[in-house]
Amino acid sequence: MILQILELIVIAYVVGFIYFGTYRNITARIQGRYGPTIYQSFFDSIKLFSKKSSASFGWMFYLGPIIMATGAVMTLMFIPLFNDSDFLRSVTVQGNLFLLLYLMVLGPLGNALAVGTGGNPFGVMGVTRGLSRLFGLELPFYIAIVGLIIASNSADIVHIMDLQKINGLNIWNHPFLFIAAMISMVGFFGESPFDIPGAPQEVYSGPRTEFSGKFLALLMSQGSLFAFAKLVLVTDLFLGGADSLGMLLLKTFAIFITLIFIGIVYGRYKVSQAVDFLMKIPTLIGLIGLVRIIWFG
Amino acid sequence: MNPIFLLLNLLPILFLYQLGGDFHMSVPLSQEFTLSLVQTHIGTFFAYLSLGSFLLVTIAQKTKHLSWSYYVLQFVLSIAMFVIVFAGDFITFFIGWEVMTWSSYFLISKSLNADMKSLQKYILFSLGSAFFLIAGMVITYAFTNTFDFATIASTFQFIPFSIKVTLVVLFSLSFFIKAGVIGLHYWVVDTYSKAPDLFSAILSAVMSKMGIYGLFLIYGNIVGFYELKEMFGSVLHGSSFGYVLAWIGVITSIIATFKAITQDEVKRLLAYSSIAQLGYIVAVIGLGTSFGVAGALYHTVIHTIIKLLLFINVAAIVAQSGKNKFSELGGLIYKTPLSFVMLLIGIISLAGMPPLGGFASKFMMYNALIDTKFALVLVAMLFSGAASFLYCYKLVYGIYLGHPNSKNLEKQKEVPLTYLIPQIILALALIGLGAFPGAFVTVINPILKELLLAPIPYSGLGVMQSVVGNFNGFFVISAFVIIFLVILLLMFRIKSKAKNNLNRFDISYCGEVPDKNTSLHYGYGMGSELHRIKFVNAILKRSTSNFYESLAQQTKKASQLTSRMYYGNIHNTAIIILLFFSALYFIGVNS
Repeated sequence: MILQILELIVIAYVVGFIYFGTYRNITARIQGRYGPTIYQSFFDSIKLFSKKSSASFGWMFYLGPIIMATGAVMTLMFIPLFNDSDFLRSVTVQGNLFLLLYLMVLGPLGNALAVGTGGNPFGVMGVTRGLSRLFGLELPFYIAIVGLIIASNSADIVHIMDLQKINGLNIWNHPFLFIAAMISMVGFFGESPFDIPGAPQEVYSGPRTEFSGKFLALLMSQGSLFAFAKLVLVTDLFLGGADSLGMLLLKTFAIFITLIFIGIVYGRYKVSQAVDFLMKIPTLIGLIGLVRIIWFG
Repeated sequence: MNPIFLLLNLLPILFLYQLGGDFHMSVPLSQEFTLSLVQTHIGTFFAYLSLGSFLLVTIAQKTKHLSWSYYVLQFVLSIAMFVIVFAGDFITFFIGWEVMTWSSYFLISKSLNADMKSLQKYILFSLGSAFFLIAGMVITYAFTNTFDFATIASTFQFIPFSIKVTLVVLFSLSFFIKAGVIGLHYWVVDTYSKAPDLFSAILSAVMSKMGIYGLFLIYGNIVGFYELKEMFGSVLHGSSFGYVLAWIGVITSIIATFKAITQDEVKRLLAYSSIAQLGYIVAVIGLGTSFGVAGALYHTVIHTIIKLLLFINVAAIVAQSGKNKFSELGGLIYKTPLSFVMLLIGIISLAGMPPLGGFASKFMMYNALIDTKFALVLVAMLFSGAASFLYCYKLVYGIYLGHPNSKNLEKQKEVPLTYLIPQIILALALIGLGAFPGAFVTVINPILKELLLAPIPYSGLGVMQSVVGNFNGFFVISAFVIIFLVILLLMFRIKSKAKNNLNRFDISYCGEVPDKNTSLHYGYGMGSELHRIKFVNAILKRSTSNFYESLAQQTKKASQLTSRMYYGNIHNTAIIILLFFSALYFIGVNS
């Protein structure tokens, strides 16, 4: 089991960084630049681990990023990577979708605590913006998740994946839920209309302001693990999971590229605009899907 | 800590333990009425909950600040609750309810902050609650000829339908006031914030639960969940009564959550949070399914533990620093580290995050809603949970993180041990329930049996089972600890020097240099941006106070009108009295 967890972390780490490298490349090309190499984020994180941290603010500041990384690894563990495989099956059966929903916010809590300890008002402002955005962002996402749970009568992710083999993929069965979840995902990835917490021009990089050296490296690494986890989650829930690593990469990359193309073309919303938008259009789309499930089977 | 009263508070617990499982006492009052105490499983559950809370709060109380009368009143209050939860008939119940009302009223009035307005609010709403209760009691008596719970329960189904509905509504309103359901919560926030700091813990953790006990008594014991479902018909896979109640509860929790975020005073935030959490319980209590009842009971316990922990924590900080606002506190983390850890455990549970106890109860409630297919209610509940992260963070940041907002906070020391002991016990309980969520199922199942519901599946201490999936609390917490330690160890191995930076101005500040006058604490502003979000602002700017203020104005005018009839002229008064009695006489003769 431990070996498999390590394997999982390595896969997620590498894939996550390569995806982010691709993202930086694509953004650069759209903006008419050459951009860094695909491996640049990877190099950055290795380099940062060996750099001196410019400031530390006591033990809570130290533990915060570690809690965040723990949250990311835990999230990753409870999401089944492949369908029909024994890969970490003994771990995934211990949890369910509700557990996962709450595990996903455990990491941000650790981060928020560290940022608060750092005492930088910009950091805390970023966290507050993130939390305010969160309840806009979670609403369509919860609708999608609840819809799927009701439709499959199970909160077990493996079961939801298995059902898709019989009934067809959820993306076709419940397209409204998929759209609602995807709009939320744009925000969860910190993509453009909803990149409110860490907006550099407004709150000076927000939550990350005070972090440097190995803390920043840890934050970057957990970010890529977490991103991969979220992509796999969407794949599992809506695209029926994957049988092999190649298929998994294909599906997750398809979702990723959709998300970044949405992100690149939009400007940033204000907090109030973002929450207002999220509470209107994606919520409405999600509700249509949900009502369809409750009243029309 | 007053050792005499600690022992005194221990007595009812020992008494209860000594009695074993089953006791029955009755005192005949007249030929028709008897006062009786009957032990039930659910009563025992609430009794241990309230008596235990009183014990823990007594540990934290400092002797020199409090008079003997305070302790005596508090003891009377705890006995009143004992009477309430074991009452076997309405008269005993009502006596307990009234003793609870006046003893708590005097306790609140002993606070230095208590003002006339909040006290009046408290007593008026308590009276309102009592009036609804007594109206229900009298109507029940008129149709069943008894006050005894068991007899009423067996004959309840023969009461005409419209009367049944009236009774359910009257009793619900009475207990909704105690639980602080939105619209009837007007007294809650002022009372909690003005009460003595440690008594707020009792108010929020225990006294609000008496409202929940009352709901269980009415829905479960007297009407019966089955009858409740039959009476009102069903919607989706649950009862329509449960559906209405679920929406009432969830709307309560959403509104209270947003209100909580914008508060500046610490205890007001906790009061709103208390309303919100009780909203969850109200939301699942009426479902009438095993999971609904189990979720409500589970959350009752978790909420009691959390609110005791948080209120004691805050009381300690307020006693130590003399500040009770977020805009005056801050930066206490390295001055009172143990308190900080306790509060952290409290808010993680309050937010319902997995490794600790708070998740299990939420999981149970979500399952109950999935079971009955109340999907929209579930979404609303999850949403309210997500919004609650913000006030949880405000609580921990505003008090402990960031920079101190007042000068005297610089010399703050760790809070006294008497405050910490109960907090440590409560925090351990939360960790224990996080690791062994199934442990509580063994307590709930006998209660479910008593309420004629199917037991919920149980397989081991660490596992919580449900209709849609299981989770293993023990696995989750051990995995969390192991991974956390591994990453900690790895990070520790990576040598990178960092200067330990505790000077408040030594931060990156957009290339500028902050000075003495630069405000660096964001606790005050947190939540103010919510006003710009249309939906949230629509909630925040509404308030029930206008309604109650205008009601008070109208009542005042009406009473002025009445008083005009009375004084001034004694002849008029005599004539009015005469007319009144003759009217009564004619009505009596004609009927």
